[in-house]
Amino acid sequence: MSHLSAQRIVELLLAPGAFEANPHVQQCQQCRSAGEAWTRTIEPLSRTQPPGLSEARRAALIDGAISQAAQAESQTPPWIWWLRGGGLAAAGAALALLLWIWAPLGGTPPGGLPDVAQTAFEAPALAQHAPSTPAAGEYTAAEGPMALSWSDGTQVEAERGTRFSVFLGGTRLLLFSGRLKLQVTKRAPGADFVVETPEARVRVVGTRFAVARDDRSGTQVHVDEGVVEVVETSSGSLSRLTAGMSRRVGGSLATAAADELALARESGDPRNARRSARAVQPTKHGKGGNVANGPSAGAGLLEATRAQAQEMTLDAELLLAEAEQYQARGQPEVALGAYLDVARRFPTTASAEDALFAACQLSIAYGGRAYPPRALLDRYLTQYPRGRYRSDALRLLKALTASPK
Amino acid sequence: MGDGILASGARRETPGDVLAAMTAARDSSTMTKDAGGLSPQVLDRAVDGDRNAQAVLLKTYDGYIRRLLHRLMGPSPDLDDLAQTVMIRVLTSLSTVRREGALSTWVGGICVHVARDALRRKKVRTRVLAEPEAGEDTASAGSRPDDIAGARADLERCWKALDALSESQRTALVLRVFEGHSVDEVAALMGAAKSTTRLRLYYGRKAFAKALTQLGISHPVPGGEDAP
Repeated sequence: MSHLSAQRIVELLLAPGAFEANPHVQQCQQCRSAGEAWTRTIEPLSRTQPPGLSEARRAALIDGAISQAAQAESQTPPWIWWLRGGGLAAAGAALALLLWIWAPLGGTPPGGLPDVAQTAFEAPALAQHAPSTPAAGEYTAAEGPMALSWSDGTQVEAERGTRFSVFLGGTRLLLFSGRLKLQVTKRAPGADFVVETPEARVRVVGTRFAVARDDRSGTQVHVDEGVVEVVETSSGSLSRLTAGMSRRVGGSLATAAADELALARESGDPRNARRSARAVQPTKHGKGGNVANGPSAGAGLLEATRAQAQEMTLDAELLLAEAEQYQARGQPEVALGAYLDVARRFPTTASAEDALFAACQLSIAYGGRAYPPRALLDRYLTQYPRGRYRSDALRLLKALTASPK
Repeated sequence: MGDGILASGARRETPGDVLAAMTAARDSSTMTKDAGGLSPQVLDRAVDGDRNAQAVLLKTYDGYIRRLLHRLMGPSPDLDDLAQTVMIRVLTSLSTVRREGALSTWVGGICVHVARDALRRKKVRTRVLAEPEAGEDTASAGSRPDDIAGARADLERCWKALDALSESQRTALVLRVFEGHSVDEVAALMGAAKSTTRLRLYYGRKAFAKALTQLGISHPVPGGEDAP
């Protein structure tokens, strides 16, 4: 069993509740002890008090502040008062006009970039993982096949009618429906490329593969080259697919078998098609999906899942922030997908509850079709029967029921 | 389901109404933790320039101001000067205070601005921790000299690790982790978006953990140290 590093322990301790919720910590006495030792180191920061102050010094500070404030008020020039009154509105209007003229010219507005943009500069990890050319947002291949390429050589082809989103600096694709073929350039450890669907998460290190999804068949993954990891969202089960292997998550078995076969044939490798044809024979795995040629979930996979869970606890907050940024930038559907992504992938974290309820609110405000508000609210109330937003969720549900649309 | 609170004869509440009410409630709850408990009459008189009322106001909040500045910046010889700067800004901006919000949040926001200005100027990075200050609580865990010395050394390391952060990350982390504010409150205090605040916290935690673990603290670490 691999233990947590010191840095990871401190990071978890700094996120309220994250250390106790970590699956490894719950099982490992050694890491718990290390956490207690680090807590003793960090805790004094929350108890530290400023040096004491004598009553005389305190009175002097306060009297001094009152005198200086009075002096500052009396020395305020008349134009300041004008600015504080109606002049402020006029100045605001003039500034807005200036920005309106300035923006189409592509200039940076006076006063610097907005806060969100500044944050992007503070986020080296995101920038480093983002060699992408495609802009974040939702894409629909309405006219015909669509091709996107990244500056590192990664290429994605979307079939006609495919609807997907690109987000998190171009390292995440959220596939709503349709079919994507991907050729992902080999990436450094930690710089994963991930394709998400409502049923599964496909993590890629560098490979050629295809992902297809619709509501009837669920999600199918077929690998032509390299290795991908598929995590089933509902159960968290993880499997590694190598060249020629397929996996389906969700949907009915019969349609999935046909789809996987078609997917393998389309990849142009008859050997893969034969393998897939064998692989997609209905199995006894039932509705949770079948793994074709996949290795059984042994101790190694369990270990990998645990390691992933450790990373997840803190990453949940980061993804939640991303989702909020998409919402703030006026991309509600991408934000919705990102919120639900947090709720699906990090169900044990506090961020998951925040994200799911934010998705409920956004879906009501935006009127999203892909994620009906009523279903989301039901899901929230089922998942968090004693949740922090329970009363608000019930109130929204009643209002939805009463409203004509 | 539809017969609950909405079945009255009054206009039915739409989902949009509920969302608007929730937003309003959240905004006001962010601003309602008023530790000072200053009466509205005193506040009115202070706004009108009554020096006695202003003194009452400052006496109510001076402890909070000094504590917050101390935690945001660490031990600093400029603490009292900065506290007085905050007090002056409080008095000169009193006419702009939101009556429906908590005064402590508003005062806290001014503290955060002043502390961030000071951190940017880097005038306050000089540590004065070599000798314990009267009233400084560094070692409530034990009273043995070794314990006290160990706790003080740990605290010194924590301040050093905080120095490795940008002023915005540091401020967000201190307010969230060591002052116990929610993400909403930190965002309000720093005048930033919630998503921006979350990112600051995320990267601040990473930077603080990395800096702290590289300061040579000898705790048992089953997983070893991360490579720098």
